[in-house]
Amino acid sequence: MISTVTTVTVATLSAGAMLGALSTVLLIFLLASKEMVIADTRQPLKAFGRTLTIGILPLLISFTLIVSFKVLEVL
Amino acid sequence: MNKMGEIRVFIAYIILIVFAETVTSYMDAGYGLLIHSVTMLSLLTLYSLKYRENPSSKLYLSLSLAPLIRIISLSVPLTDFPRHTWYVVAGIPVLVATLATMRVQGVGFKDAGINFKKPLAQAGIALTGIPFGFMEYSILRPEPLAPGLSFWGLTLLALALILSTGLVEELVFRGIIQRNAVEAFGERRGLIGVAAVFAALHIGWLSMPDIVFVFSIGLFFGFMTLKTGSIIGVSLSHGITNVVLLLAAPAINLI
Repeated sequence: MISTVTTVTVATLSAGAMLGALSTVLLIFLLASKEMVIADTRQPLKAFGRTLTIGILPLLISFTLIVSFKVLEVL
Repeated sequence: MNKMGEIRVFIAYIILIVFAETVTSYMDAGYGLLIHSVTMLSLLTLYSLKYRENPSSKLYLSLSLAPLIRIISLSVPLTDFPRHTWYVVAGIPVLVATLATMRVQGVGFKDAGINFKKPLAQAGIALTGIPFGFMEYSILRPEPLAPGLSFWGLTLLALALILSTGLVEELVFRGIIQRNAVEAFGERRGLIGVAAVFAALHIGWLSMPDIVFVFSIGLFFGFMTLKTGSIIGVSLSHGITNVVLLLAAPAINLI
């Protein structure tokens, strides 16, 4: 199928929560990096800070979904 | 860095994405996710270091969407949703990342190919999705995506597939990455490079004939986008291919 959501992606997802944890670690890393670089005035670092948003936004959506389903599971 | 050096960096990243996808698909998705994360971060860093050196720096930024797509699809809890909604659920964060990239690059929708230039040609390109869908069905033979859905449910799902797999993925690959690759390295190299990245992200289907098929389709979509200056026709073709593959062809096969 011409879709980047592949059989392996889905098969792997059902295997465990490790990937969710890894992506949360990546999200924390990106958020922390952004906090550090936006304080700097050097142009490359400012540019880097802006680009980090590209990774942060989708991972935040993913994180919200993970947390929402965990909360629903508990309830 | 001279142009040949830049091309080598581009090829190195394509190889890295192929490697990350191979690890994800055949070894361990956790390690695959780590390699994709490092690849994405290094591309963003490279863009920042070469911030003012257009257009190759823009290519590094847009290419970071490729590993990010896999990071997203591995991190979204798809199995908590019904199977027929997976492509839409995974498409939303990818669309958000794409819009953020367009904003950083200062690229508008029209620049990215969302325009209605040459409408007749676009309609013709869109119709190619029907034979492509049947061809890919003969390769993959997937189960029907939503066997119990009503007619209106199937119609809505078909529209959702066209938007989430067609428009979003074409916006990423042809609208953003190919645009930057062609600007940086010319039509031929840009087209082949982006088709290779597109095919690499389909390694997870575990079918070599499908990778060859997707690479050829990537070349066709890329060429059509270059010739028409629009991604509407190829987005519709891409979406229709998936609708035929997952909804129409399995249903016809069952009759």
